[in-house]
Amino acid sequence: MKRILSIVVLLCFASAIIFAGGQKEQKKEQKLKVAFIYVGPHNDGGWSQSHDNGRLYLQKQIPGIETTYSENVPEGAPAEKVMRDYANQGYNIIFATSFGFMDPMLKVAKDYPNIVFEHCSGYKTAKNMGTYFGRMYQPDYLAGLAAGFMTKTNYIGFVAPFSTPEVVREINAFTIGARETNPKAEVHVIWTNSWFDPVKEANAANTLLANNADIIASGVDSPAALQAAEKQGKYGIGYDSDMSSFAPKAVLTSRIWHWGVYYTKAVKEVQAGTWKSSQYWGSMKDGIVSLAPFGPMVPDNVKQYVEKKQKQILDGTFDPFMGPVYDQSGALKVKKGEQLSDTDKLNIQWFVQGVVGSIPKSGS
Amino acid sequence: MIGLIIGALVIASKGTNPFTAYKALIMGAFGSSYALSETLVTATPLIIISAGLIMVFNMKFWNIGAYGQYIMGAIFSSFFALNSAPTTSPFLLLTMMSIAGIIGGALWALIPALLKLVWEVNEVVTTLLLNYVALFVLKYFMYGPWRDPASHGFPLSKMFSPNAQLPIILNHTRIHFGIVFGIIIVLVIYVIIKKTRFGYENRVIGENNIAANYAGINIFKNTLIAMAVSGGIAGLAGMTQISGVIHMLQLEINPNYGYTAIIVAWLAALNPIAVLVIAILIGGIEAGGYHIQMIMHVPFGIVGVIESSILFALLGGEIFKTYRIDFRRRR
Repeated sequence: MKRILSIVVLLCFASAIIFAGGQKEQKKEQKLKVAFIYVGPHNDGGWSQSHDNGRLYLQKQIPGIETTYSENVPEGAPAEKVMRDYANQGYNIIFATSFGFMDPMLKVAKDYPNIVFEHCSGYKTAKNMGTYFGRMYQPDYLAGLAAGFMTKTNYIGFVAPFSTPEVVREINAFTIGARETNPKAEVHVIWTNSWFDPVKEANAANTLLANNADIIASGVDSPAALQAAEKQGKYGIGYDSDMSSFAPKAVLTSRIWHWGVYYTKAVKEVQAGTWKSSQYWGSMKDGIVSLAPFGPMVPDNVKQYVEKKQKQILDGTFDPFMGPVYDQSGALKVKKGEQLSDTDKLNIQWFVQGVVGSIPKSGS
Repeated sequence: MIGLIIGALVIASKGTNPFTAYKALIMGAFGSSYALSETLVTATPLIIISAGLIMVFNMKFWNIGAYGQYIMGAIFSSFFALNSAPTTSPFLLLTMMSIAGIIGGALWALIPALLKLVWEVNEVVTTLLLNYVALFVLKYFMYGPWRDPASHGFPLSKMFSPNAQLPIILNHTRIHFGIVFGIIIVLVIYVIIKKTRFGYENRVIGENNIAANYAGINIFKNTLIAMAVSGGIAGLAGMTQISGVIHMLQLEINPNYGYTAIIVAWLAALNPIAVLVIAILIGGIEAGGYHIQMIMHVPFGIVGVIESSILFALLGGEIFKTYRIDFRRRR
């Protein structure tokens, strides 16, 4: 009885709050509303932060719009709920920035045909749902060039999340770069099976360092691996955003995302009514990916070499996956004078020569 | 009530107006038919699991393992969802999945029950630790045999065929058939614990198991049955969640409902009927929590703070109900 009473009191309290909050329903103008959904904290120093930087950039480029975000959204049932919430609140564009948001987004997109959905890093699309991503393998390759110069033990560690084609492609491009400047270099891979797990990332880095690695490249979202390298006086290569502030003595360079470039393009297209569902895969030339400035420990001859190659990538005369490319067993995968096609790049599930590690097999 | 005030203090300390925050929370939970439907979707697994927990909490058997039983239920039922022909009739397939879910959860729950009965191992420890084991079993299947080759290396299974999905019972919402399961289970559990000899015996075991033994109650049998029912129901909740909401097996199937359900069971004072109300309230706090975040940009952790302070205040209140503080000077 007492309990029921307390519930009634609670409900009264609740309704009181609703009225106390007042009817501040302001008249809505025709403002374009854009929502972002992050899998981690917006200030994680990595992936989600790179997207939030993109959001802020977008807000600056097109001041007339309203942007907001939800952070720490778990993949699965809650993600779908958050997207539906935004759709119901009259948001016009929703950007979901984690692979696991793909299937929930596809379901929501079906129910809201007038809203534009954009999913980062996935492969499923609908009439009102596009995907976007960047050719990070280009900066990966350039970072690999620098790593090849800088390693003394010829043992480079790579802390990697999942064995998705994206990550495999990154490791490959990085290794091709490292082997170009140092044919003896080997890239050793450890999977963390998580995008963001600072503890595991530091452990993986420490394992690699204990095995004589003197450079740790990070393909994961926190700077923990680089901090582990700095502690032992070794080098690291950052990912997502310029990570030099987290480990200034260790970070040679970082491969970084500039999502704002794409966000601005997509929102402008929606405003102009020309937006169409597509699978966007931007390059260094488009400005969506780049290499951060080098740290002070990188000598000038290395910088010049990398810059020369960067120019070739920018003017389109060079691609990291130009033949000859050999796989781990030494078999020729891409002939001299040929190039890996985009489809092959997007589905790549084999490592190039020089990578030490294996890709977990998936079942039926 | 006190919990809400503590929550308000926390929100205020973050520099936002707690009243507007609570308003956002309530609007996000009950403010529209859509919000209400989302609250019910969140409440569904809570109703089911809590009802099952009450079964064993009544005999003072502390099952903290609904989390793991939920996962095992999801895994067992996925076996049928992923391995039967998509043309299997929905009724047959869903029945098989439900039964598999119940068996999965029940088996997982029987382990700590047996450990307790045979070797007197504390069930709080075993049920809790088995949660992590269940998570690893799930990881094995998601990284191994059940990973969809088309998932580009991500730990996701194939999408369930439409026949393996629980039907939506209200158009344009996500409310699925699981809520019907929930209501039936609540009623059945109510009858069992209040009206049957089995339920009465269990309460006696909970109050005093030596007396129960003396009275000729078979503690061994009763504990096993009650724990199998409790775990089986948690397993069924796992099945309804993947079949009704997520539509595939993946790493993130939100087993945390297994912990929240403990709060629900206690707030409902172990009364299955009250579970319906409390689960909807707590479901509302969770569903509305995303709404607060969207509108006010307070971190989602606030929801956890509010929930736990409510529980804390309530359990604190229990002390005053059982004992009275006597301010008279000692004579």
